[in-house]
Amino acid sequence: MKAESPVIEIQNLVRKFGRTDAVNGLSLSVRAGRCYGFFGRNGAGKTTTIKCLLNLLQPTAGSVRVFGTDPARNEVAVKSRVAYVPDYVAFYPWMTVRETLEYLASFREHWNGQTEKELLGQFRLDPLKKVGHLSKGQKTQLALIGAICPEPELLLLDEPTSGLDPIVRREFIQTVIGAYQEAHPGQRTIFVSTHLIAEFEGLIDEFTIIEEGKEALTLESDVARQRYQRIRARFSQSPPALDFPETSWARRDGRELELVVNGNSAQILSRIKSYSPETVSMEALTLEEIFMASFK
Amino acid sequence: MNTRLAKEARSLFPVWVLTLLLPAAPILIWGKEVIGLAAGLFCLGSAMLGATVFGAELNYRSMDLLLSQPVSRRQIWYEKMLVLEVALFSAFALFMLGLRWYYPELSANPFCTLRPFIPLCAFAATPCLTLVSRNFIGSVVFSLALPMVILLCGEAWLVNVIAPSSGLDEYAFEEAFHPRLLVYYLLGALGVYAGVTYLLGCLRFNTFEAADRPAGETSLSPVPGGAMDCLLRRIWLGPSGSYANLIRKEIRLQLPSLLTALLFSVLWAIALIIKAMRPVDVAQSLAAGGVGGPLLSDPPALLLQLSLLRTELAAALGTGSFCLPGRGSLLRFHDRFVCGSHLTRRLFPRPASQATTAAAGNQACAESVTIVTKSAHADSTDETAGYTTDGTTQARRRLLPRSTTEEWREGRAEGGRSSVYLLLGAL
Repeated sequence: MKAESPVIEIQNLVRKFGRTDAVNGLSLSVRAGRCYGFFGRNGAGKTTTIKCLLNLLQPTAGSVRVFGTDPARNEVAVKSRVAYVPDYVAFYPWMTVRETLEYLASFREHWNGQTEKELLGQFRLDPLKKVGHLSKGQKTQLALIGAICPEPELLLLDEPTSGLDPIVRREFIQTVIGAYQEAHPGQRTIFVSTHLIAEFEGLIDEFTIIEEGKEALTLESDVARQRYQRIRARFSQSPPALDFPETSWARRDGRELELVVNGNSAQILSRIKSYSPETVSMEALTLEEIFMASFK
Repeated sequence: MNTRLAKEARSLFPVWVLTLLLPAAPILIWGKEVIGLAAGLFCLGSAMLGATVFGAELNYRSMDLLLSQPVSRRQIWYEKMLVLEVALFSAFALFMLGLRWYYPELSANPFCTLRPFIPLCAFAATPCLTLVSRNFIGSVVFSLALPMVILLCGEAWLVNVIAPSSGLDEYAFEEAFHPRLLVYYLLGALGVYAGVTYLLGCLRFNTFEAADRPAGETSLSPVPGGAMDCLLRRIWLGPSGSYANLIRKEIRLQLPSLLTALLFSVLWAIALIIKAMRPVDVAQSLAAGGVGGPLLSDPPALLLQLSLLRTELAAALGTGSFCLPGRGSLLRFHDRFVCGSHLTRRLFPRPASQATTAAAGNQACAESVTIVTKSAHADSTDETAGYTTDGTTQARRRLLPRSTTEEWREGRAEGGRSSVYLLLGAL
């Protein structure tokens, strides 16, 4: 792989199920060492895209490259550098936690036993417990351990925190994923699809919002926060009728005006100030609010 | 032991045990008379064993986990096939050893050379059918049905093509050529079937997509598509109506089961029509045995009945010569009525000492069939002349003692009742 080539490169990906376009012309690129968010509503095509990256599904059209190679042609080479946590975690119910991890380790050349031990303790998972007796959240924890212990270069997470309780969720995101990436900064890449955008707020470097199989928005998180701003102004009388093309969303409530703007926030702010509001403030939107704003 | 092979072995072990217990149970309960049933159950167990290899992954929804691991699909395939091979052939060896131990005097015939095809077909075809149907039950049903279809085609070929061109009558042909030709045909056809399905399974797995279709259906927007959707759109409440969505989803989810049910229903309908149309005692008894008994596991019986019906209709219309069913046909009825399907009884014939005796409950019926067999066999007797020249139902009835006819009627009634029960069960 060339040094400058992206870890994931998707160009005009199309995947149909019958007459349904699950993914329809999606393009994105993920650089090494990034934590890349992949957001979208239910049925937007997130899982289908991730499955195409792993050759679990074959694209109807377009191309997919992982580490610069086609996962369909170099399946083993690609997957040996990738770990995947599916949206629906399924193991063999008759296996114990220990047996499941041994089974997963049997596929890998490298397996960090120390990390396994630490994570088992951190998640309070009993190695002798049958997988069939684990809760959904515990199965997800087990899948995460199985994904992190081989220390892959690329971690593909499809709704990894669904089913986890808030404490474990926070612990997982901040401790596990953060520590995973910080161990080899610039080399380990995370591609995460999630609805719980707020939980990943501090980790996401760049994101793509997908809607009906198409890319709706791709931005770096910092750029997005600069671009998407919320302006609140309070006037002595009713707010003036303002028309800004950059406004994603506007709300009038009595003497208050609230705007969510997409770019040119400084210009809009100065224009609002020209109407002499009693108070005016501007703040950056969170990624979740940006996600919400992009659908309004 | 390799961890992955151990996992595959552990996955198959409960079904492997079941494969051995299934045939053992009826023999232990009912004794040696049910060897055909035991052999049929072993075939069922073998098919289940073959279907478990990938069926378990589909049932546990662990295919994503398996296919996302850094191992080539070919290696996964070979590992699974290796364990399946050991499981199937060890089960087969134990089953045969058990039979030999329990039946030291087990009879042999040309069909016995086909026995190894039971594990071979389960090994080669069932994984392929599981990957195609994505359904455990569907793959078991079709892996049992497809060899039967091959057998049916072979019988059809022999009865309708080879026999007429041989210049021999049906009985002479049955005795001279039929079993041997059928065995040769099955050796070739099942060999080709096993080879082709194994290769198709391997190719199918190499390109297998871990698409979670039910989940996909529920999460994707309800865009109608396909012939079934078009049909539903026409007959229901619009393409996105709640009832239409519900029905569409259920049909897609249950499609393999619905197709299987349709297949069985058609077979049942054919069988019931045949039964209703048959005017002759012998034929009706055959139909009763076929409908009330293991018709679904004995397609040749169905073909035979169709062939008989055609002959009898031709005789009734006066456009053809009337002839008796062949001896082999009657023996099939005899065997089937006692227990076990036609093929399994040929593969695993009862000990010679018991071959001419029937189960107590079916003694009378079996005897009556034997009488007809003998009369058909004796070319020089008046009875046979009556059959071949007269060709009427009355003539046939005259040949039989009254008591025998009554016993046949009883047998028919029994067959009719069991057919109703089985039809209800099928529904």
